[in-house]
Amino acid sequence: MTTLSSHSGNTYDAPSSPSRLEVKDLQTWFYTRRGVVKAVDGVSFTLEPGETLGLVGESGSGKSITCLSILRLVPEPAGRIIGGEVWLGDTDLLQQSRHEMEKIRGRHVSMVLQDPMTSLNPVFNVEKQVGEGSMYHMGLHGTGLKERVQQLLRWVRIPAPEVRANDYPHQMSGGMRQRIVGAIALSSQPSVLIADEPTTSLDVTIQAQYLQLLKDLQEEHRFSMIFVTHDFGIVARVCDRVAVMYAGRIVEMAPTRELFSTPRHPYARALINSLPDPDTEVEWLTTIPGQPPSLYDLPPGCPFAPRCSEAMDICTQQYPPTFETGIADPGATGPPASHTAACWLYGDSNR
Amino acid sequence: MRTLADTGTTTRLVRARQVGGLWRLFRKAPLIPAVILLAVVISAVFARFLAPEAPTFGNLSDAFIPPAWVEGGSSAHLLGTDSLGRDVYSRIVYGARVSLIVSIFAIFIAGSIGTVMGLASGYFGGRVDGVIMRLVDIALALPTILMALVLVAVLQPGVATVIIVIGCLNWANYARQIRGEVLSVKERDFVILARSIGSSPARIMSRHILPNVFNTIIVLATLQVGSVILLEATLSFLGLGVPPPEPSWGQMVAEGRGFIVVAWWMALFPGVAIMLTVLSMNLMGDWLRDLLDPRLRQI
Repeated sequence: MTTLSSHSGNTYDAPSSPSRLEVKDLQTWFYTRRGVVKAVDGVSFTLEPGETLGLVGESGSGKSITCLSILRLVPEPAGRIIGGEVWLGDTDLLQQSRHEMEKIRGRHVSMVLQDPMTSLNPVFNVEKQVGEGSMYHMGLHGTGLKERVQQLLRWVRIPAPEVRANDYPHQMSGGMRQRIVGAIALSSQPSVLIADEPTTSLDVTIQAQYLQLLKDLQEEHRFSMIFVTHDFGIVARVCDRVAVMYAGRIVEMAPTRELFSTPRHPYARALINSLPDPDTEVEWLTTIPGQPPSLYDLPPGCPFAPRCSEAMDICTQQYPPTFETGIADPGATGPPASHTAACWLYGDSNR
Repeated sequence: MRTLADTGTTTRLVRARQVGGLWRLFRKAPLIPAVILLAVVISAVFARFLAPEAPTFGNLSDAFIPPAWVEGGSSAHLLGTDSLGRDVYSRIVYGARVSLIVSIFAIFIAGSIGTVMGLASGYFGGRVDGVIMRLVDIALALPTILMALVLVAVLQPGVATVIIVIGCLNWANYARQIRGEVLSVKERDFVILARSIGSSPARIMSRHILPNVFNTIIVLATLQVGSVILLEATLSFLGLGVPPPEPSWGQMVAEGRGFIVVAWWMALFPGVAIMLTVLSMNLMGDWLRDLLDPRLRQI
């Protein structure tokens, strides 16, 4: 009859007003001794309130740097955001001062990192770390803060939070730590959560649990999510729309179901083709020939052209603009139901 | 009803953990070093009651009396007397005061300056780092003793001057060491996570980085005790440290040096006092480091 949550009346449950996140032509370059690495080179997308956008692509395609750029956490001085706009509601995050950014991080946008083993500070107990955000953004102290931490731990389903709050990270399992990281990220009720491969280092059962937890939390607290992953299985489970990245650019963007049924860009098509089908027995899995290009000096045209089976002359000369290809799958409904691909195959002259 | 029972169990669990934690805290403290350091501290605080004679009282007719257990020794002077007939034991007891005060305060000053410099240098990098590290290079290139001599000569000799001079000359080691640690800690994911929820640089440095480099500070501080005591001794020996006849261990060793053949006890016992104190500090430092490392706490 008495539940554990009944005694903690808390007035801080209001999420920050849901805002649309719009990234326009974002460019983040790294200046190294060997030259300039255009890690992110003209990425644009929008994230509607409550939506989950998947960001897929191989290692080094710029997924993580895109995420770090949104929070303005690109490792300086090597990395610099060269251009573009990141609108959250009607604020351009790239125009904010450092101090204003500190108020935005956590409160409006926050992040879950890949490895829960290193995401937590080893010298503080869970309570101190989970409470940090609520302390900055809600001005909570003492008992109020303690109760808030308990509430957050219950959100992420930590058993016996009264006891666990006093534990140190090394006393917890990987899955539990990643839930703690989730609690930290959500502690100030942000409207956008960036999840950078949050399940990569968890085993499969824990992965499934964690994804379910994220979905449930999203339902309850109505944040939108950018979900970075290599795993198409996860994409299918959690994402409303997917953006496929290659060499620092988004090459295709479509509602999830649409992408799986009718991938347009040759790279996306090759990726989907290389997924093994459990019903057919094969000796060799399908792969994409060649190597991802070196980002140090990209060819003038489409970076995928050298590996592309459908490359044309123009592909090696000029980078294709983004073409609207139209929705093929009638069952696919994303908030803005559009399917785009950056490929000359869909240029007007080729239609 | 079930939840009520659960709550009872968890409360008991919490309490058991807290009590257990407190016990675990002291279980592994090294006993002998702790006793020695305690003895040094007690000597320093209660010197008046522990010393049979005033440290400056000497009777020339009692000069060079060997320790009590050696032939010719006197039970009135447990560790013998020095060239001026002063009781060595009493002087060691009083000398603890100077050594302790000088090393604690000097290391505190050096550690504070060095830690702030190292944190800023490592965290901000770039131009800040360049300027601070050049300052460190300069500080390390200066001949410490000569600089100390110049400074003490310019200022008024005395315990406070010695503390300030030693403190201001020793910060560079901390700064360099801590900068290195900060460079590795600041790249760790938990720092990025902390930044991603809106922590300011000051908070990151004080809450997330400082506790993770604290072990280094402790270990460095304990290692510095020896060199600080010796530096103080050198200054005292050269007449620019603690002004005689006020005793300090280093000064006693320095004085005993000239009589090492005829009166070995004059230099030996203060030397042993320095050695035991430094060794105990190092062992306590090790223990403290283990204690501060939560990964070892639950073992």
